[in-house]
Amino acid sequence: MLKTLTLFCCLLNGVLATGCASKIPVSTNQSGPLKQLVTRTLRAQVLAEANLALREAPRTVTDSVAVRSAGGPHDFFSEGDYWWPDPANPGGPYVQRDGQTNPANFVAHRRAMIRFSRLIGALASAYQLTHDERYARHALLHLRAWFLDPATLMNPSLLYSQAISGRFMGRGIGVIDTIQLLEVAQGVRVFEAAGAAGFQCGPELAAIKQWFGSYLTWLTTHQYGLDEMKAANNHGTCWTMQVAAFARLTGNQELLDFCRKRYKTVLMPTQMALDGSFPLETKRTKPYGYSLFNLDAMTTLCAILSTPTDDLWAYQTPDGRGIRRGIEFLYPYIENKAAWPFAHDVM
Amino acid sequence: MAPPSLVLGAGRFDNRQWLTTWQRLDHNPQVPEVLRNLPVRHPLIWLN
Repeated sequence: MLKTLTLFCCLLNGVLATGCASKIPVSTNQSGPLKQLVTRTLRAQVLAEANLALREAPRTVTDSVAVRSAGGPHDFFSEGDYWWPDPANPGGPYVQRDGQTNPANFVAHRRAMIRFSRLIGALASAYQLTHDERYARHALLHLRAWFLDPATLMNPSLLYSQAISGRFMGRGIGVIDTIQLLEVAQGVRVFEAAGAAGFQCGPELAAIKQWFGSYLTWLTTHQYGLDEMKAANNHGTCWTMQVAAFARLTGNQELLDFCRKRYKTVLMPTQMALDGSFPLETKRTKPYGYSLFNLDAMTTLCAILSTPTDDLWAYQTPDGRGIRRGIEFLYPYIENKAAWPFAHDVM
Repeated sequence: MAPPSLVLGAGRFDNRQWLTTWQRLDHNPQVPEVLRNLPVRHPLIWLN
């Protein structure tokens, strides 16, 4: 049985092609053993989540006004998580307390985007399982609100993310906030590939892809995007993960190639230690949570970017570092968190 | 929290142990910081 898992998973990445001109290949192995096992685990929960989602109306950035934002109503705004008022200088620039979230921060836009992400993920999963068009129609309602409706859309840029009072109106580090659009982009691909009504070649699908195309341009040309690309830790991984996912949706082969190269020549060699750990994460105040987060992002990159001729899953540095070693390193501590040998995460 | 690295990796590397561990972990986390740092919350849409 396990041997067939390999065959099945080799197919995973090539299954969903983009673009309307060519017929989207459909896996002949969708009832493969891994998919069956995962479906058995998640089916009831996914359907319950999607049925609740059907009752949820869209809420976008325009539903909450951020008074400390330097941007307009269509600009996503968030504040640096671990920055606080300075007791020695009240009203002055905030100071950092790594790992300690300031509860007074503006979080409404981030919450709205996470909500959007969860709704699309659930609706796309349920559509895959049932092909019930209600799920696709409802997803389209939310996608229109976020990307197409001039009254409620979000601008395809992130100029005011993770601002710090008294210091920065926005930062490159804030680019990580749109990892929440990862399952949105993937959900759109799933609806399109599965033949959902409203996701076939047409003006709306094209306009959604155009939004992601505009955001990709911003991510790869604005200084904040370039700063985040060069970030040494999980932030650099997450920039690449986003660019990869959005480039796959929009069919941007040049950027997909760029991301493959970046994974092999920058992310893996500079972030993973010989034992499979991520030292830039283990040295911070939430070593466990961020090690896992970075591993999840690296694994997702392998899933998005691997092709039959360029398999990132199999890629290793000359001294043997690769994604498998990363999972093998963390697995015992996922299985038993109490065995974690590094510092425990601050709460 | 059931990490996506385990379920995606289990498929690619034929690792039944990783999959079994993934199956018994929490698939519906509600803690905001956990949710925020979970790029893949719906593995089914990544599996075909």
